[in-house]
Amino acid sequence: MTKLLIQNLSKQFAALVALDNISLELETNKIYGLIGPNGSGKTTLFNCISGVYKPSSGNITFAHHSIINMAPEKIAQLGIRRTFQTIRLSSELTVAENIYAGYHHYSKHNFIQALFNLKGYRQDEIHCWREVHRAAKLLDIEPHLRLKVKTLAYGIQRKVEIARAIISQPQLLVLDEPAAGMNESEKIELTHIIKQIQLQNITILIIEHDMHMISTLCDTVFVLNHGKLIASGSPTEILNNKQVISAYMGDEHA
Amino acid sequence: MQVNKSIFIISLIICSIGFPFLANNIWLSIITTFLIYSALSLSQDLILGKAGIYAMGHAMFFGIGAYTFAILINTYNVNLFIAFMASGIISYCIGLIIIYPIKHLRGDYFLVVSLGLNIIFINIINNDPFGLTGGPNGIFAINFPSVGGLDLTGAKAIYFIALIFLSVMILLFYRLNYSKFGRAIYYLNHDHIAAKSVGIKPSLNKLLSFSLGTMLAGFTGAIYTLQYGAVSPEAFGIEQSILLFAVVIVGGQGSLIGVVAGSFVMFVLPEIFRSYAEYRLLVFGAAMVILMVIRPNGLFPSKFGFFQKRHLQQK
Ligand SMILES: Nc1ncnc2c1ncn2[C@@H]1O[C@H](COP(=O)(O)OP(=O)(O)OP(=O)(O)O)[C@@H](O)[C@H]1O
Ligand SMILES: [Mg+2]
Repeated sequence: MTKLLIQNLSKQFAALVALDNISLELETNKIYGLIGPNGSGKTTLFNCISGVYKPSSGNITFAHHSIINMAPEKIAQLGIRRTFQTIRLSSELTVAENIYAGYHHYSKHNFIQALFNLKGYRQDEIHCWREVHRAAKLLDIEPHLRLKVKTLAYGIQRKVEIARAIISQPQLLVLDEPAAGMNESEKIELTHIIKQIQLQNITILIIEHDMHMISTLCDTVFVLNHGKLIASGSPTEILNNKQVISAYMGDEHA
Repeated sequence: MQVNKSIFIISLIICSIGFPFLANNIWLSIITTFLIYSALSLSQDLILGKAGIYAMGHAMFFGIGAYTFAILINTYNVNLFIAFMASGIISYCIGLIIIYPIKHLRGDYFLVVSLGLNIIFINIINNDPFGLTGGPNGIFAINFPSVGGLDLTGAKAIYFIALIFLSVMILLFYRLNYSKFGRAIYYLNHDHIAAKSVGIKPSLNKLLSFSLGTMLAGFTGAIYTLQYGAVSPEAFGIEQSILLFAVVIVGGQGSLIGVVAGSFVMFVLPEIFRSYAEYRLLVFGAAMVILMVIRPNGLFPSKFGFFQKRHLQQK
């Protein structure tokens, strides 16, 4: 079943064509990779999907809704959650408070209940806290829940961002270089975690430069170069694709 | 720690209730002023510190509340309670009408627009529209009707009204961090892109925090009118707005203690040291500069945290 459908999507910044007529399709419950050299438009595509950028033309359909002119918060509420290439967490808050942000929309108390700490409020808080715990457990960051984010190593902060994105049980999870700054053992652990997330019926689209991780995880890989989709296929197909090799190595190696 | 805190709060309550029976009228009036300006600064903090909206025309909403109250009572003989409610509600509505079309403006543009509106407001009340505002002299010798046989214009009565109002506001601010709304504006203020990516609505929360801030300023304005029995334009000009803005920045954005301490320094100390009027602005100006250099997050930077210990402890 098709989860996300992108048709003839283009994005221009003044004279620069960052995305050029991209069409692709993501099916339910699969892991997709998005690769390409620096500046090829990967993050721009993520920003178009999540509503941060308005595409210049084309269409994006998610679970039968056209999300092309939708505000980012609406898209998030529909069930698309993302992480960012440069970590965006509230560094003064604890890990728990950061993860909770992902569940904020589903928190059910009203202001009066919060003001007087009424039963409805307390129950809601306990429920939210359980959800935070569940997400933290999946990412294996439970021991850090009470610590301020700014005191934590980069690899853990990345996991906090993922926990914030999955706490609401999204249908589509979009990860922008989740392993950047991680060491080998952290990458192996992350690979394992991403597989666990997939088991919760979440479709995943992931940008990653580590080809080993991409080939372990992904069912299908898309390759961008200069804003164009130059190839798509299984990881082995992609690794042997001449066009892809030349995009990464430069034309003289082709 | 917990015990110390309770002892502190209980003593504070006892002192604030006992105070008017021990103090003379001068001190009573100074401390009432302190209570009123603390409430006003907190309402500015909701907009500037908590929601991060760079609005620098806050004295205008204080003025709208004060004038609404004065006009309703002086010209239309409205009941005190209704006039009080109207002051907040009219301020709220005007705040909403103002923020709606400019809610997308970036901080620096917003600041200029709000200052401009404050100047327009002063111009309007100076021109005595429909003979309501009394022009540059304002409205004075307002006769407040008694409420159910109670005279609310005595110094002690006004002190208690201001005390109750400020207490309600402190409770509101204290619990804000624990509420869905307070958390939404925190996340939006600190990183609106990340906040939107988890489904938090930016414009609704911006509208709400701004108009609630202007409503609270309106109520505060009514209490101010009650205290002085008069209103005139100079209490609501851009100098006041700039001071309010500075109180929040100097005290610590989003910090309850910081903002209250800031209003004490900015609005009460000058009353106490009136004889040094010449130097006081110089001293305060210098203090502001030095403080911002050595403590850029304000005197008492805010601490935000909202999972209560009880929740953290359970497994
Ligand atoms: N807001 C923007 N304004 C102007 N140009 C932009 C903007 N965002 C991205 N670009 C440009 O679009 C192109 C694609 O950028 P993008 O960030 O999508 O690349 P990327 O594939 O994610 O690269 P990297 O691997 O370095 O993260 C780049 O040339 C970039 O400079
Ligand atoms: Mg990128």
